Amino acid sequence: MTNRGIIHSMDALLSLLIVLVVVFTVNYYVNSSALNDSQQSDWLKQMSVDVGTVLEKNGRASTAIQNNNVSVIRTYLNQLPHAWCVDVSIFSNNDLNSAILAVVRPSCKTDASEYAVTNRSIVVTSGSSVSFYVMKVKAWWRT
Amino acid sequence: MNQRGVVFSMAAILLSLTLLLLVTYYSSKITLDTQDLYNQFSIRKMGIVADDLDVDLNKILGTQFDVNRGTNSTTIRITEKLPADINKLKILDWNRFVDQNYARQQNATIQLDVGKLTDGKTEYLFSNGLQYDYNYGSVNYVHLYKAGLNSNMMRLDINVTVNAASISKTAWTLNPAGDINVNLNYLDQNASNTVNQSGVLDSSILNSYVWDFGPGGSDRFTIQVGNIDGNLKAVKLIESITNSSTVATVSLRVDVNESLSSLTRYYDAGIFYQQGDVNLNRRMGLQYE
Repeated sequence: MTNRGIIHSMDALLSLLIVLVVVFTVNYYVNSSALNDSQQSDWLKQMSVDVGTVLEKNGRASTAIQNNNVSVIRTYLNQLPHAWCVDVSIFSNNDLNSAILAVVRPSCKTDASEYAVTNRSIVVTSGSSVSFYVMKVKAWWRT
Repeated sequence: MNQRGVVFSMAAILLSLTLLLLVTYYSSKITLDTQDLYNQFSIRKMGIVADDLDVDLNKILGTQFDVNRGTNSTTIRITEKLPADINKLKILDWNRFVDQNYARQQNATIQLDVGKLTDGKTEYLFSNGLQYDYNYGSVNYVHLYKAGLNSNMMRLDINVTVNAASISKTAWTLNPAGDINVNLNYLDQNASNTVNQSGVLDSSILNSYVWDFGPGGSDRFTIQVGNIDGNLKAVKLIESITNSSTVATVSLRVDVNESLSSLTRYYDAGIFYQQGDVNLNRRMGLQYE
């Protein structure tokens, strides 16, 4: 009778142990399925690509260049998800060293450990004239 | 009795261990696959760069295309200006910009083949054989046709606005027994020469509608439909007005009677992109319908 009690107790303990192992394993893999460094880095790249594409295709980049005013770009940056930080610089074809326009999303600190940078060409037409620019979009996660 | 309990326990443990091993294996496999996928950014980047350059090319050329492939027919909408706002030879300046500064910024080799866009005519090709030419220079014209064949256009909607006053017009002859339906809406600054017409034309002959903007027939705007240089059911809009400030805004809708399983379209120009061991060689303005 005593032996049977010990066996039942051992059996219950073993079952509990198995349940705990399963719970901890599931917990481990659920947590590890969150974004890893590689994915975070890729998201950053995709973010900078998307921002550059939208700014060109919705005409905000051209408008900013023509008006020499970045407010249309800043308005767009403020509509991005809170965690996104973006810095947009536009360079004339004649001088790729100093930007003619630059705007960073307000309240974003530029002390991130990782940045993603993409470049996009912008063609601006005015009447019969055409000008070429390079837009650099730098993205990072808000710290 | 005790032995049976041990067997059940062992079986439960083995089953649990097997499940755990399987979960571990597939979880790590998914993680690896995801990383593989995300590590392909350099491959995705070449598509992004090509798209960027397509946007620029379309902006310089100024032509807007909208193509919808249906079950039994395909609708093509084209919006155009004759002459275009931008001199199409600006493509040469853009090519230099891409080859030098843009390629350097992308840290890649980028070479554009734009020779056939800068020889006085731009060509836009469809995979079903249709071709859209824009001739620029002393005479500006656009021409939609299938070389040496019947384009199978069944309905044509032509809208033209010219910012000058014509002095006379010469109409084409409608033929109810014809085989191509045409809606024509033409407007310039001489209201008496406005045309709003729907009818049927015989596509086996050349049908021309002409508006003269000066004496002697040297300045005129012409719409041709039908047999143009042996290309059946073709359409051509010709602006030959010497005053360079005169602009014709053209909007064309063409319904082509063809059942196509796929349709691609592109400019007769190419892009070569290379970064490391990743490279892309494709037509410019490439679209799949």
